Amino acid sequence: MRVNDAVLGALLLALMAAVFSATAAFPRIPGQPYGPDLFPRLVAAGLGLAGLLMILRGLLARPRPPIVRLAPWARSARSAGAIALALVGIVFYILAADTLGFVVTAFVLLAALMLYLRTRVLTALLVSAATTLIVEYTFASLMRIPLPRGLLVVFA
Amino acid sequence: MGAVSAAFGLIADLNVLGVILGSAVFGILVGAIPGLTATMATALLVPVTFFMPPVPALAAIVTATAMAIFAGDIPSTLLRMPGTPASAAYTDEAFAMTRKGEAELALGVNVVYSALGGLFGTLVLMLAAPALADLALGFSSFEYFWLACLGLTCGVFIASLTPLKAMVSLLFGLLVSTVGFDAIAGFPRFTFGVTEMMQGVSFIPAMIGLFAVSEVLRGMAAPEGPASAPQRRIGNVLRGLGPIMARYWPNMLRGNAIGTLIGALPGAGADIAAWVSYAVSKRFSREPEKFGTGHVEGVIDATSANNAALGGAWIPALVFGIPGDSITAIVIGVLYMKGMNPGPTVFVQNPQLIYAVFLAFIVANLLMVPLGLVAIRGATWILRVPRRVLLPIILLFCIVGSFAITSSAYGIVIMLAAGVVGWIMEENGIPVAPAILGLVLGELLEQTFMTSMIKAQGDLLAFFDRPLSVVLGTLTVLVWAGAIVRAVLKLVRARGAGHA
Repeated sequence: MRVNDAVLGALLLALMAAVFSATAAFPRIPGQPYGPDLFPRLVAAGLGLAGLLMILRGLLARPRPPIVRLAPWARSARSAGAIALALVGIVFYILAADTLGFVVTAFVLLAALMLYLRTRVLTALLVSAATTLIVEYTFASLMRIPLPRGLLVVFA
Repeated sequence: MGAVSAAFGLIADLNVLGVILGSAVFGILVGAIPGLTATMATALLVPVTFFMPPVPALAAIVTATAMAIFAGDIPSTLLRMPGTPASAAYTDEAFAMTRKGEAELALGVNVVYSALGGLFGTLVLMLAAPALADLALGFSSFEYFWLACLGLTCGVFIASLTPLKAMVSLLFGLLVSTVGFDAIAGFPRFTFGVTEMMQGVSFIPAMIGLFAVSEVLRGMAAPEGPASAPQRRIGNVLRGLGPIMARYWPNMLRGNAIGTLIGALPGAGADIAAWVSYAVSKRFSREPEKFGTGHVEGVIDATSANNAALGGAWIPALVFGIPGDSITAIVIGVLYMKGMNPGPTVFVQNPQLIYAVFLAFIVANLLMVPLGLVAIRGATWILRVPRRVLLPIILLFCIVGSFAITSSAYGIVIMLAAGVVGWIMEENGIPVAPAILGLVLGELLEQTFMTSMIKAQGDLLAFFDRPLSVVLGTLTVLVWAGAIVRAVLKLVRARGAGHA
């Protein structure tokens, strides 16, 4: 989805305004003219300036681009669904991993994505199971990364 | 000479050689998996090395990091996913070579120039350590400020096709870098009340998100699109290297020199060395228009630089106990653990240990070519796996890699947010690389800027008071002035064309 440069520029100006208002309440260091707000404000001012230039660019461009130009994926329900499923999958992992444990969550995530992308069912299930176990072994056992155990804690 | 032969005795031990081989394989695996970095390889090795004598412990870190920095080029070239941040600068270029059917050449260049770069860095580490460290020690916050500025400037050069959008990306990265405690007053900024945000936005999950998750999202939309497996199998990667080496040897030496120097400067490591070398390569190339289209020249400069930087980073670490990069920051901790307190005295008291570290560097870089060739062969299975199977697996690696950095879901949340932002940015033609650079250098830039401002009490001329800062500062200002003039000219010209 390609948005007109002028719209992006307006968003940058809004971001600058947000930074300036958020930094207004920052404390000052006694006796110092420069506080924790100086650097973010300088950067935000730069973003605002760039935003103005983007607005100019968007308005001056000929032929004038539309406000929003849809990318190919947005016209295909299947492609848009795949992107949405990947994002939902990550959120699912964040929310469920502690309860279900790494093994169950990772397997569900992998299998769901592979099946949506039309992998053969048997392949999807086997590859998901193998990948999950290999990752669990290398990361949890070899690298000592505390992957959540969840339901499997009873076997520990 | 007694110390040198003692060092040979320390390295030429079956146990030590076994540790080196094991760390080499480990380093290649970690480097080749996107999201796992050389720094992480080091951090993971530290608990293992705790039980070893000093020489194998240090040799393990030296070897694993050298291999990881090279191996990061493999997924970078084949999948456009930098295995480590040090490959990010030339990921697009190397992947463009793969798209053109030149994956072999790109990988061959990566393995050979990485090994040569590592050897060059080692040579400088062995010969010129004290002198270079002296120079870096003489820097004040003014010089560090300008150095960070120059690094960021290079970030905009890399994407100079759209300097305005590159600048937006860079500034956005800088803004994100201000999240968390500020360096001067310790005030938590933009944390939205989340405790973990006080430490700032964790850089590695952000990099995984911007580079890998956004790529997975794009791939999910078109799982069997043209980007999938452009080459069926990897042939002889060493073929065609002869003419390349004959033609581009000045690039190699320039990359080596820049890499070693930047590595030796505290705070800047292999990743920044690669960015700067790539930008320098493009600036001084006779064919700058070919950059970005799969041109080997910039890859040579950058891949020569990042491995050279590893050796360079050990110079201030060993001589003065100042880390040259995040890896040597961990190394300094290991040195203290082993009773080899870094500083000039270690060269007097335990010279054989220092020489053994040098030898470990040489052995690691010599091993890199044969092991690298094996790794490249083994890595090609990635290309044969259909993307509808590979993409979910990569997503899982991203999740686990981000989790490993923070040991909490915080890393995954950062990764998710960065992935969505990166994907939206690329959809709108805003390059993501400058944002990463802003995020990396932001803290250094702000800290040195604030320190300098407070020292100078607002007198901006103080930024140009010292001879070294005059040179660095003038260079930065000139480069930026040129970039702004060019952007304005382009705008005016675009407008003129529109009315014509």
